[in-house]
Amino acid sequence: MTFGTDNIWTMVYNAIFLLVIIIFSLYGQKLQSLFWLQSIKNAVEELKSMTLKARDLLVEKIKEIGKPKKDPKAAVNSFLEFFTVTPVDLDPAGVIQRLEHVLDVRKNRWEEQVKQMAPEANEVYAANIENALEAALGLHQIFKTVRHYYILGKKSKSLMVIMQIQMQLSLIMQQAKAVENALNAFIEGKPIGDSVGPLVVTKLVQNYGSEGNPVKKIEDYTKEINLYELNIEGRNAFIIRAKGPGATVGKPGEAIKKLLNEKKNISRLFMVDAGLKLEGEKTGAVIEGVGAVIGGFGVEKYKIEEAAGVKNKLPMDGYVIKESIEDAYGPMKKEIADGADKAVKLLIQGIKERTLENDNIIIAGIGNCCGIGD
Amino acid sequence: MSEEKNVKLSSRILKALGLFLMIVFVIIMYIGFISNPMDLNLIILGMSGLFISVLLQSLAAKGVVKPEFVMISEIKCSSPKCDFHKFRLFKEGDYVYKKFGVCEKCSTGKMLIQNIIQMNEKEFKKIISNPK
Ligand SMILES: [Zn+2]
Repeated sequence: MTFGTDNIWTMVYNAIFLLVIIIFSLYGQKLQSLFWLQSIKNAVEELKSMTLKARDLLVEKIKEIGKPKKDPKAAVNSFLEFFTVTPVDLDPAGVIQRLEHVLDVRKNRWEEQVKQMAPEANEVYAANIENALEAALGLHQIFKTVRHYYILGKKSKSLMVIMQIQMQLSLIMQQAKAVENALNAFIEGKPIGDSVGPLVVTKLVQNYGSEGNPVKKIEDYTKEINLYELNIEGRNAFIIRAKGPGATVGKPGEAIKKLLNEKKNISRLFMVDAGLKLEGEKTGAVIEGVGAVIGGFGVEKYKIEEAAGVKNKLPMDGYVIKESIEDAYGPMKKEIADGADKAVKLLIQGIKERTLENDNIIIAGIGNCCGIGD
Repeated sequence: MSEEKNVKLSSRILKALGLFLMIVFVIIMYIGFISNPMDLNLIILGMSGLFISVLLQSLAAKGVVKPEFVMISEIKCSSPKCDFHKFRLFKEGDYVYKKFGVCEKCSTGKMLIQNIIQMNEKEFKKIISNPK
């Protein structure tokens, strides 16, 4: 394959070969960044259509359920830009209280907003709309962030910016799909993966509650939290979960704190929650451990650790049902529902092994109660 | 893991075709190389053929179909004596442990939603046609 041969094909081949080498050595990086930019652009388009679809779906639902006097579209649009400033942690003293205050204010504001947008919606639908609004906001944020990096990359032509976002794109899209699934679930009131904690404790109440073993139920024991009192395997159990079937989470930490103040002789605290699995771990597997198993911003965890752990020296048992982030936000899968049954068995076994008869125990089911009645 | 990937039939055919072409063109290229003197026409034909077959295979990789999921409600009778049990598609307003209506079988107990779960559509059809 040298120049000078009289074969025309050889010359063409050599010329092409040379051209390819020149193009790639001079413009290889540029071509690469163009390809990457294109894939980011596609993702931006997809995220945009997802966001718009989510918003329209939400607006339709609000119109259908809430019967507002004016079109809620403008209100929803402006609410998608809602922001929350978390407190400064440079001086960490009292940061939990400050954070709780901000979160309370935020929650109240959202509730008011939903009430204004959907005045006719009942408690359940209002909670669902609130959560769906939250999901729509999440989706909007993802879209805005990716679009920001796309435009920034295009403007600056910085390979670093483009590469950074392109390489995370598949993970970002996965997360966006998860949020989209959550929104759809909230709008229709389906149980989600995160509902498994309340589901487990509700199964306990349903399995043990009967005419001979009446369930004493206190609705709204603390805001959006129900308390059930019944006999489980000879133990006096106080069961705490958010109020369903609307998409509520409540403040389980607050409820546990109140309960510990009211009932002096509690001997053990059991908590059930959904937990993130690592890739390769089985969905719906139930694992045991100690400590306050509860996610979120840490306010409720702090309260439980403070009230149960420090003040009362209460042993805390945790049960976690493993699921991926998509499963946690998406509709409840069969594996997770089966995991709930497994967790019930383990929980009963734990109660029998680690508490005595006539003990007072607290069982808390942590998670979103969307689609879980009692 | 439990979610097996469903691939469209057309993509499967395309993939197999790509693989087949790849082998054919590799052989053509090989013949080009071993012939004395080297047959450049065959080598170039083989190379462009390889390029096309790789393209075909990458096209085929896009045809992965996600399994369709449906949300179903598992309904039982609230009376412990009755063994009524059925699955139906989730309806808005359903929630776990919702009691409604009267049992279709014993008409003394109430209908009780035992579970609401997401299922593979195929699995759901299997359950519907063959209830446990
Ligand atoms: Zn019946």
